[in-house]
Amino acid sequence: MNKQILTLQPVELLQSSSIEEKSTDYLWIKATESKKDESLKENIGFLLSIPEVMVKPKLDLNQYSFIGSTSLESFIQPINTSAATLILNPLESGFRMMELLYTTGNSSTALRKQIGDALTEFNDLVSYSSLESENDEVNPEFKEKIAKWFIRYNECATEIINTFISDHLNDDALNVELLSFIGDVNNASSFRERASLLCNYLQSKNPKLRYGAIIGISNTNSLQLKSNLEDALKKETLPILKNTIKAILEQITE
Amino acid sequence: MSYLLRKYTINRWIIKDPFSEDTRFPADPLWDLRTTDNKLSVYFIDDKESNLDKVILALASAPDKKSRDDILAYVLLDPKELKKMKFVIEESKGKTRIQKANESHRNIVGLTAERLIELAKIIYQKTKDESSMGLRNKQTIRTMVIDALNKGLFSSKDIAPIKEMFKIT
Repeated sequence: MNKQILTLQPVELLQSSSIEEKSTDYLWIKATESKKDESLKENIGFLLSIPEVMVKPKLDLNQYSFIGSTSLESFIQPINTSAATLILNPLESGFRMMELLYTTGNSSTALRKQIGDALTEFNDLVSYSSLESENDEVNPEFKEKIAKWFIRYNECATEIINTFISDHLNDDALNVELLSFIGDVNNASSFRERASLLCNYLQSKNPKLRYGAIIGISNTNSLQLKSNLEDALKKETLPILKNTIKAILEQITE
Repeated sequence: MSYLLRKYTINRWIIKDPFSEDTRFPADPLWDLRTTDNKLSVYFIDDKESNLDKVILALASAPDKKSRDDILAYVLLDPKELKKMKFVIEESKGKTRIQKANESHRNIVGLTAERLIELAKIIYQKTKDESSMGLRNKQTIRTMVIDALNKGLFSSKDIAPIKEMFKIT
């Protein structure tokens, strides 16, 4: 998929009655990490072509509001045009936008709806119950449901999980579980994307996220990712994680 | 040297060093030290570690488990060190699906909240020591389970739930 920028929706997430009536056609835009190409202008054009953008204020997770395309220009500014990167302008915005990358090439209504559905279902999943059952295990129902969700929305699922983790950095137990799941999911077509996500979190400042990435990579059982673990071992400072990596390196056998 | 094995969850022990200036011990690790009748379950591992894999297998396939572990981690405690610190260890038959592991089961008895924290600090030190901790990942555990099924280590009534848990056809 041509990932360049994203956007989205979800109507179901809207809580404010004042915007209910607008709930069908709005994109929940977000930042980006555009491909290194010449499409920067095109991306900006795409963003600005959206009549209104839903944004999420920094401090209140349950409130949303809309801004028009003119205001959007102050939210997004190009930096480093050679890398075609767009960033949010935190000084101007005062908002926090949810980040999701997605295609601009084919942001059809159907696709947007799919992403919206995926997000909505994901939010239900991660909030529907406590993560652990009574006997110290991750709720097996959670595992099953999220696996089904992933397969259903595999084109955008990894990115949604990535976004969720980066947006919920204090939910260590859940994040570890999600990273572990990312390595475990049986979906070959998304392997590269999932591997990339796990390798990124190997370098996290948060040791629990690093742990989640280590377990995720262990779950892939992929020799391709062994060198990433070896690099992580060289950099790791916590003895408990060093020992974990060493033991896992001996057991990756694919 | 023989050991006492205690399973733990690595994620809960990624904590600030409890021996540093701030000596308050965090609560998360204590979840791994849940007691019943003030007893904590451990397994005796002989000096040749000849029963280590059977104990790991027993923990991975415990009857109350509903799903398999991504990682099964354990620490090896020194019984002499524990006895020196006045921890009392008693033999007590285990209730796992692996008979030979059940014979290795022990309890650390008469525990109090304060003593649990002392024990937690010992375990914390062990997690930092490569020779005192170990783990098996998902693939290794699955291989161990398949091997155990082939060797007939599980009773006939346990085979179906084990196969289901580990997705073995």
